[in-house]
Amino acid sequence: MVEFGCARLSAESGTVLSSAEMALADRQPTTRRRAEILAGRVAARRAMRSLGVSPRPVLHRDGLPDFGTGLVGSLSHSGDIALAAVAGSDRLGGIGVDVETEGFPPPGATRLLSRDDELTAAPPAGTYAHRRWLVALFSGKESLYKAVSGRTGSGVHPLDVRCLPTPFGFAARWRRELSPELPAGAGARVYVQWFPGGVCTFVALPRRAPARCDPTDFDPRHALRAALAAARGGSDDR
Amino acid sequence: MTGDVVARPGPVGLRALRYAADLTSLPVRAEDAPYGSCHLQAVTNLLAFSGVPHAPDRIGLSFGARRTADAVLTGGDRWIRLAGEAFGVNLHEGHAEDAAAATAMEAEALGAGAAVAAVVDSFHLPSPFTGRVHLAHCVLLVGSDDDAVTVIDPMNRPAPTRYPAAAWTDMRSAACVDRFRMFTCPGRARRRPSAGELLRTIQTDIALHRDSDARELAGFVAWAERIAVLTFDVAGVAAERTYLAALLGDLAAQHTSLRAIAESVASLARRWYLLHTLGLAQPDATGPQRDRLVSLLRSTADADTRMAGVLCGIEPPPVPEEK
Repeated sequence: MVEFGCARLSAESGTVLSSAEMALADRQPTTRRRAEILAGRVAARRAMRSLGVSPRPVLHRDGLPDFGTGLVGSLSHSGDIALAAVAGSDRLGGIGVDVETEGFPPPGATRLLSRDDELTAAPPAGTYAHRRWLVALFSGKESLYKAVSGRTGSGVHPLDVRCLPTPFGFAARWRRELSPELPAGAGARVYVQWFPGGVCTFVALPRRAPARCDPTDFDPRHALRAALAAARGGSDDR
Repeated sequence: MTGDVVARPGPVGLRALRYAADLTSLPVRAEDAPYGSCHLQAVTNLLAFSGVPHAPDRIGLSFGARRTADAVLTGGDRWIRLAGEAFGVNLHEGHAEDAAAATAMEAEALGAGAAVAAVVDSFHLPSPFTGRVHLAHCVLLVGSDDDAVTVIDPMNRPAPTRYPAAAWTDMRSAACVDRFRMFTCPGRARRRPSAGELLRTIQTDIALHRDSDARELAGFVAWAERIAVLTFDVAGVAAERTYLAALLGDLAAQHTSLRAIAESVASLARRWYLLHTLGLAQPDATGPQRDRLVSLLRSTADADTRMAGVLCGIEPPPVPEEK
């Protein structure tokens, strides 16, 4: 249903993709951004192959990555990693993937990202566990923002969604109606997968309303681990 | 807005002014400190004094972007002209060459019974920046005499407060104040535009400036992409979207077709504020932290550009003029 691809910025700088993608990359103002664009497309092609779809160019439409007819997708970059998630648009209405390195966000951002009910369920402030919780929470809410953007055209503010810890990551619930298809109280699962030095998260929203439960019928964390491990050239990082 | 309160009369030349004290009811005020909104807040009060109903929900008439310095992105700031035209008021932005000229201009406005929205250095006023940061801030000058002025700070101290004339000169003379910048709005509002007219005003303005706004936004993102040590200020652009969301939200109470777009603009405003406050929490960002802030800036700017297109495309509701 959903497949992931991962690439390293440092390993893909010489990659040649479609002419339109190369033109997109060459328009970027810095070599760093160019590398992000290229690695993101390489990651997307790996995800497409895993999904059984012929790789196709990923361009920009209105500032968002456009995976073409029949597909929904999401891209993220952090540090040396580019991560892509791709799924068929016949089943999913929006997906979001995000990867963060452990240095962001700063501890002072806790109140920007969470409300009292989330803090109550979080590890004690000042601990390493709290620090990791904040990074995962930020990443999860960025994945939610992307998934909701793909579904409604505008995202969701971190304080408009409640994320409480679960064994798979977070159970997210909208605090207000985001759209008629995403009513208050509905939500999604936020899957969290750690790797050395960072974390990645994944969210899927169904094609049809209401989004009251997880639309994926599998736990995507294994696929996330495998994609990250392949890009790092090693075994799964659990 | 809920109830207005009556300001206490000042010493000389001050009429009994009513001012909107409940600006805290704006959608993001309670959770996202409205950095950058002081000019809008202060001028909102001038409009209210001039008889514009629901002024805080009417002033957000522009949606643009402008780089005022390398690290600073504001909104289009065209709301001053647009509000003046829409409500038929003489809303004027002025500057003075020196303190004496500024004092004379202020006295003239007060003598005519009108308050002045005056830009000051927040270093000298009770605020989160007192004694720490030289930052332009906008307050209401509502009275003056030879020895003192009476000021209302809608954001930090929404009650008449007297300051010695010398202190006023100091806070008005700082470099960040930009040549004694001030706003006046004498007289009464002559127009009450309908919701449809207000929407068309916004759409016309966006269409007119869309290309230049997009260039400003892209230029700001490109600057952030290139710089190695990143500190930035996007509060102004966040504030402009906040007030537009308030306007659309108020109109949506009558025209439910506008509810979704109002929510989307409010969401965008909160995204800009999130970016701004994450930047404040991590000044002089370098390395991965800098990269992450740039990435957030890029996605927010992209969402902003998309919103300009959405706003241009909405169909204004056909409604009669407000009574």
